[in-house]
Amino acid sequence: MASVKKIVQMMERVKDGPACTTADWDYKIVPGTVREMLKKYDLAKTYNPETPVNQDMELADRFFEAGLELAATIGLHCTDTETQIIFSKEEILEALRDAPSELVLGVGKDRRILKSRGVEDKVEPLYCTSLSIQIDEELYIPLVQGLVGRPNIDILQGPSIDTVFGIPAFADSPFETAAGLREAKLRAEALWRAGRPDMPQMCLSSSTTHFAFLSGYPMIHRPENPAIGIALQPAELKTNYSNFHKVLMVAGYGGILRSGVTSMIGGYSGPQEGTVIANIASDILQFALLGADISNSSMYDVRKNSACCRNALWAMSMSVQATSRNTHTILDKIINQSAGPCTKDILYTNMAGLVTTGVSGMELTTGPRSAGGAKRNHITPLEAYFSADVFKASAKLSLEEANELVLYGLTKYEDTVDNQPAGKSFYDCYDIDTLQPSDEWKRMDDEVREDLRNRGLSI
Amino acid sequence: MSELFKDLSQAIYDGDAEKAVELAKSGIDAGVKPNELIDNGGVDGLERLGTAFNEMEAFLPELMLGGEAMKAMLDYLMPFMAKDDSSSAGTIVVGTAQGDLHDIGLNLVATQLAVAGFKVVNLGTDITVKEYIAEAKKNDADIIGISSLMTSSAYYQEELLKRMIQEGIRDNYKVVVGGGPITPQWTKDIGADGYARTAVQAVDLCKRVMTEDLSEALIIE
Ligand code: B12
Repeated sequence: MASVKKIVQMMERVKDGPACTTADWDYKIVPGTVREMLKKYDLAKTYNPETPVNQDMELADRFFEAGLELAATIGLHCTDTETQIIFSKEEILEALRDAPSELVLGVGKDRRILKSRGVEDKVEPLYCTSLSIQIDEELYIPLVQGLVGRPNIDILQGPSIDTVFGIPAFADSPFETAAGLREAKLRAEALWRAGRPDMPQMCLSSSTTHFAFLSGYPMIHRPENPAIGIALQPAELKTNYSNFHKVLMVAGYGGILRSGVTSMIGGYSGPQEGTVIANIASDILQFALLGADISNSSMYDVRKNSACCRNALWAMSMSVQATSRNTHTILDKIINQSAGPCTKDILYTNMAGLVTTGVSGMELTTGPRSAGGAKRNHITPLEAYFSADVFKASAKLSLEEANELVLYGLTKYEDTVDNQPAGKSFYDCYDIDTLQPSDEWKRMDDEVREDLRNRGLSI
Repeated sequence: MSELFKDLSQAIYDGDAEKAVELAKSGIDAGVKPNELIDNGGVDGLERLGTAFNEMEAFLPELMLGGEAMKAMLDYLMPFMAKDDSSSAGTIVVGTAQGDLHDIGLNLVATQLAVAGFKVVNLGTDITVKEYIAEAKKNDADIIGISSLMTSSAYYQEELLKRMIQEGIRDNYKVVVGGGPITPQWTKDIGADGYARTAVQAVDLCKRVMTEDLSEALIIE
């Protein structure tokens, strides 16, 4: 668990660390060291398009060693102080040993145990919905009520609002502070209506910077039901002061800390193999820097705007397997996909991503990222229910079966993975009063479920 | 001469700013026109980088370093260019709006514009309305580009335009917007000059807002 004292000590180490400009970090230190690791561990061009779900455990272990060495060689860069914080290998290993392997979340009938998993683990992983997708303020209560409407939804993150009482919630301003307070109230109301006031919560969604977090987190957190704080780093292998504000709040209140950042294939760490190494380093450094409870370092291909393209699936499977086999830490990687509600693509892409990560040992995921998260009101409960079922069902699969399923899924969307249909908004494919999907959307869900059942997925 | 262009192209491809400037200097000394150095050397190098990026041979750091090298070369060549043969397509200041730290799309846009011969001042992330205006003035910009990946930061796109009207400088600069949640309708509603969906389209957009007489926002999707 994160401690205020340790975090303050880390902040001092960050501040007084070796100077390094962000440009040097981005263009030289990260790409240069990643290249060195690829070479040293003989990992370049190991991507195998035939196995989007990696089957080679020795390779996964080698990736872990490379990720660990990357973490112990360069550490993290802080963009506010333009310094570097360096950890010894022993220090990192100690932090990994100290990281929790089990977290108790929620109260009463909504109590859930989030437990460390391994590759092909039979324990079902947990599903948190949704991502911070922008919706109309007046939609918040009915939509969230719908999202948590089935017990397979274990944790609420929920959508985000960008207005407060109809007034724009400008980022990085007191309007944002107000949005944090407003979201906390709306959550409570929606969960009460859904009959799940004590379910575990992850927050805050409307926190663009730290302001809404500082205002809203204390209203959601309760000692008997500690809130999971979302504390995202500014970029891969980086940290900043804004994130420390959030982390300190979580530690101070005794909450659960989920921190991390998306690793970009094609970004600073280069090809998928390099990004796997950087992603592993990013995961393990959350524990070393912050004493995080959960690492949330997802992956994403910048050129395809997706994590469901073949190479990104492979990269996710490799990273999750590597860390699951070599640590007992709890990981939450988001399946970034860009198709929207009322399309079959959103179902097949989510299936591919969730089967890949679930069988590889991931404990938790937060999703779905309906319509890439970028289209207002484009999110409905149905794709969340579907995704939760698939993720849990992945616990029954072997790596080989998972690979077959994922290869099948790819045949459904691979050709158009970088240009997916945005689908329909909540208004256009759901009945807001009854919280039921339109016939069209319901039919798609039924058909895809049937199709996947016939291929061996028990949903 | 083709040897010089080839070396220059390679220096840009390798992101070697020092070498690019050195080669440009030897070109100028030998009487080569700045435009030729840019088009046959620099642009060629960046175009090859772009292809390599799409084919997974080069990645963001290489792209950014190539863009920086091109910028260094353009800075060096600027004084040698007659006003009318200035091969710079224009000057643009770009950044991500206040409170927004998403920078991948921004960096791709900045690089593509540099490839196309724009002088690009990349302000980075979390840029306030005041800073956009100050930097546009300081750099004698033609265009201000704002990237927003969140609707809560996109509000500042509208604020910028309001502020420019208040200060009486709305007509001094073209304002283009982009980023995941930005839509054509939003672009029109706030009175911006244009929107493009991708970094490649941003180039076409910026070229056209500079040269065409547009009565309404230019949308490239
Ligand atoms: C990676 C990512 C992050 C990373 C950012 C890393 C970095 N250094 O950039 C991290 C983890 C830090 C992050 C944090 C957050 N994020 Co974020 N993030 C993303 C994600 C997954 C990808 C963005 C990306 O890089 N795309 C790839 C690039 C290439 O695409 P692009 O940026 O759109 O740019 C292209 C075009 O738009 C265009 N373009 C871009 N800019 C411009 C400018 C001009 C002038 C023009 C013409 C064109 C143009 O050209 C580019 C290239 O083609 C998106 C989801 C998504 N699918 O977009 C969410 C997303 C943008 N994030 C979101 C949110 C909510 C957040 C957080 C608030 C989460 C939280 N609750 O803490 C924080 C906020 C942090 C902050 N203060 O900025 C939301 C925004 C919702 C909304 N509609 O407002 C999204 C959509 C996710 C979601 N809802 O599910 N995020």
